[in-house]
Amino acid sequence: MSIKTEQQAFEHFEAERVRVPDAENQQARRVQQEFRNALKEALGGRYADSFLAGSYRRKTQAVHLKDLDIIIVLSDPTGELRASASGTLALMKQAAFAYEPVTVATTKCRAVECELDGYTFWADLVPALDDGQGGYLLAYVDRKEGIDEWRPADPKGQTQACHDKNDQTDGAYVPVTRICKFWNASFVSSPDQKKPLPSYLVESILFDALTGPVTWPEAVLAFFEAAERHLANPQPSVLCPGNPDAYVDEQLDDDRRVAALAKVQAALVHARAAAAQTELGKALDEWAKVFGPSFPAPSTRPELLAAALRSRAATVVGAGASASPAGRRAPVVRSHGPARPSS
Amino acid sequence: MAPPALPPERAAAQWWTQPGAWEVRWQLEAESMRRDPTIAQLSLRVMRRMPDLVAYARRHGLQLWDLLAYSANAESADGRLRLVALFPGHPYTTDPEVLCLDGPRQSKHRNPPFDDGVFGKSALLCLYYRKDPDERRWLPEHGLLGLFDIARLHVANEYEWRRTRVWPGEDAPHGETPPARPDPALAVDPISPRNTVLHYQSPSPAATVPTREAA
Repeated sequence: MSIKTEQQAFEHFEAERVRVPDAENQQARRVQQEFRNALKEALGGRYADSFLAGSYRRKTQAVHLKDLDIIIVLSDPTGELRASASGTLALMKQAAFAYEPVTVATTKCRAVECELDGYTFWADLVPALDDGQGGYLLAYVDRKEGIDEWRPADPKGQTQACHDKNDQTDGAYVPVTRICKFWNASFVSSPDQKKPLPSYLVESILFDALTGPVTWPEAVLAFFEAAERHLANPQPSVLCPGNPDAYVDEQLDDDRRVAALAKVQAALVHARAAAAQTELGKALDEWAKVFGPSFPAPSTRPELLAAALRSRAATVVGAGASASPAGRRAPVVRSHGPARPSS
Repeated sequence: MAPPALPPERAAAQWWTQPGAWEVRWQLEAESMRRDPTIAQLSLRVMRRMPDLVAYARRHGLQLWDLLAYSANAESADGRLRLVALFPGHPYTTDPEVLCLDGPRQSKHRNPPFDDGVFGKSALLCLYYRKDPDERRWLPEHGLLGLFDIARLHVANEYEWRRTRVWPGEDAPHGETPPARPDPALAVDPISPRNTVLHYQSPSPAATVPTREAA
């Protein structure tokens, strides 16, 4: 496609490289519905309702789905469940195996994490009780600290706040959240590794940074500016979009905060340079330094890299092949393949 | 009572749990992970969520916990692709395997088993011709970084091949073919040479480490 504006480049990048593929979303839609049906049957009278929450519900996951948060509202007329959050999590774990693809179920402090055979994402079952005042109570168990209780929560509040902000920004908030998460995830390759920023902190910083309609490049710059401001402050300062009484960065330790600040500042140099550019191509090249070779820019044109590959001049910069002579040299190999069977 | 002996393929895959293997792991990991902090060893929990890896283990009669596996990203024109390097045997005797878990799977240079019976459609990259001279193959002294960088260039070649049907980099004819002419000038500097202090101090001398020539 021919790109004439920075906004078009961001839209193309988001649609083609950042957004979770349709096939994965379709799988998830089917799995969450089947799982909820199986739980309804397994829990019988204990089952009152269920709904989706978390970043899957908010549509803010990038590249791949990691997990599906399913809130299971339980009926508790005798108060038996209210008496034991850990007992309720155990009940949920037992019920999880009613859904055939579940191979492993692990009890966490708030949820039961279910691994699903043949799927790359997992499902977190979060038990909830109606608090009788229109809100919910969620289980919280920490055996080390001796905590076994129900805590008030508003899982629908985060979803509503996300939808409202997306409307307020003319539809920029959700896709730009995905773009910022794409950047945040570029520093890790395994879910066991820590990203610079916890994912929900990325959403919350952007939530705080945007107040009205905005172009996507402006929104990304605003994210990095706000992230630098918040991370430079050793005190918690990022409010939860769904609960303005809570700070999302309260648990962010100093080492992680300082390391994240350095990465944000490195990206900010290029984001500011892009904003200051009057030539489209040069601005896009600056953005490509933030987002890598899949961002559409003159420096990431396939023809440039192909020429470098042909002449053995291609190198590796960061995690991507590059035509830049300044990158790492990889061993010069001859790609190979098996003999094609004769027909 | 001694535990029952493992099947040979499982015993070979568990080389990295044996005494002395940590030096080889150090050679693979230390400098590579310092230069590219996105490289990670895969835990069992993460491997279970990778259907291609589960299928690989089943095909080879292995349990996932037998495998030494690492992940890294390839940022490419096809987007962010997850690469997984597997060491199904000691890297001085057995070539590693690299899988690309994402993106289009049809390629000029991928190994079987093929998806849907389509030749070249799989997750398993065929990175280099294993009979080529040392300077044209991955060696343990290139570390994980060298292996993942070869794979990053490979997927860049694949993107261009899908776009134009021309493989821009060098490739060898499919199947059995004469090795490339030796050209020591092509060798890249190792990032983790074997003659380190660590190996010198090793209780099992480096000379006892099996070599490719001996294999």
